[in-house]
Amino acid sequence: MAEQNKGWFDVVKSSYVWKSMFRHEYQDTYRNRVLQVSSNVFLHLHPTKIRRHALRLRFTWCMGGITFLLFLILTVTGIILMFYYRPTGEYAYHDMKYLQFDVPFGMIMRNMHRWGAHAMVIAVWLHMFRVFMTGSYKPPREFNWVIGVNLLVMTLMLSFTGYLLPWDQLSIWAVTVGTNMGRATPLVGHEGPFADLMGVDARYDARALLTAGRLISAATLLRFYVLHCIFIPLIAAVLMIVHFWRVRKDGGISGPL
Amino acid sequence: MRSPRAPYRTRERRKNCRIVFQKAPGNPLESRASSRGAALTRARSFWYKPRGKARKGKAMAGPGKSEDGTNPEGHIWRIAPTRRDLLGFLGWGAVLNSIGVGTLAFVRFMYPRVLFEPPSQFKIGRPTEYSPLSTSDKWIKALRLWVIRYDDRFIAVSAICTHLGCTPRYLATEDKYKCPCHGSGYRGFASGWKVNATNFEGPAPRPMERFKLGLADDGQILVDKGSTFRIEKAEFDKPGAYLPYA
Repeated sequence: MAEQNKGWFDVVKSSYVWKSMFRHEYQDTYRNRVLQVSSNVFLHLHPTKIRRHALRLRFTWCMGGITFLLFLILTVTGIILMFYYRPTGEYAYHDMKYLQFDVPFGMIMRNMHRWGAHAMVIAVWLHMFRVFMTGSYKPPREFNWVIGVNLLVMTLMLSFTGYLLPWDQLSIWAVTVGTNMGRATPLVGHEGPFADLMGVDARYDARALLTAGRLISAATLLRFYVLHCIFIPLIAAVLMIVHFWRVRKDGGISGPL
Repeated sequence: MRSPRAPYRTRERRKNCRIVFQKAPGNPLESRASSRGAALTRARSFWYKPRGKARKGKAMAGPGKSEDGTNPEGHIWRIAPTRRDLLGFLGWGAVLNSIGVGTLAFVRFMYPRVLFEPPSQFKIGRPTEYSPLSTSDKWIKALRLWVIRYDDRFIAVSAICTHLGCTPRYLATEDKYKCPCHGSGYRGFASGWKVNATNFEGPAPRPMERFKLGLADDGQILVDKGSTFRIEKAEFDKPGAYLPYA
């Protein structure tokens, strides 16, 4: 076999540094293709092979995938917005306006975040509707439906907590109405039934937990900010991990049983 | 740096380990360890609770039924707690307790002892500044309340419509309160100190609330907006719901 001239890239590829990072070459064998996916931490999140029915868009709508894609977009745009947004009473609205009008590409980042949030809520409902319509909650997938409902709740809570962050009139009144519902909860709301059994009052009840006190104030904003950026996304991420794992283990996205 | 000949894949490494767990020949469900000795056949763990038919009798320590005829009655074994059981109990106890205490501590953490909110108590002038038998909306803009003086008392009615939270208006000529948002109507002054601000028309579900009243040291009326009183809870008679003043 004639020795071909080794180009500079071939030299790089045969170096020790390269081989320590990329363990499998580009041979087009079935085994190599599988190894390349399964031994990569990012690629192995997907199965190495999928069934043909997984690509039937009329059946799956791809809404679960779209929801996840939107989640990733929201995370990335959210982190970008965090570079300029300060969750305090004096600066929140100002920083939002600053992002929109003074920061280069701030407008599109902020808008993508906001529109993406609305789209994710819609997508998550459509996904739930699709799963129901195709019977993809039936055994062995019942627990995955439970996790999915929890993810729905997490999505709605993310939307709710994020709505306060612009700190404009729309935000404050929406959160006022939302948290006022909390005070009517049985047992843990100070205006709900059985409030006297638990000894809750206006200062120590479920609503005060959310609003950090009796009024919607700067403390509420900070609390909602932490909930929105760290607490709920972490819970949602854990639930998503279980949700996707369950889909994989149950044989991939649902199709004919 | 690992030698190129040492396997780094777990599966390959495991093949080189000794096998420490063996299945008992014949019965695939029983391990060799559990079939150790005739007297221990059928021995269960300390936590074993007999189900089904065996539930009627108590799980007891004693000889268990086995193939070599040493337990003809087929009693269910339940061995005494071992050191392993104790350590397991302590271990799980520690884990569950720390999670529980952690959760409780977190919930308490979310309620700060000091809140930095605007003060809720306001002085609203001396009683003599209010004409007798009148409804004053002097403080409607600043504090969102009416100060009403009857023969023997003052009451402070909260100007928050109980429908959806707008600010009603007091119509002196018709002696009633009307909310501009959806038309809720409340009784006026002439209905008496108890029935004042009770809903009688429109979507309002209940009467307007009242704020706590007291006298400050300098003789001014002190209103505490942090305390409200409702007639549905029979609170209008409670001290503080009105300020007696002849």
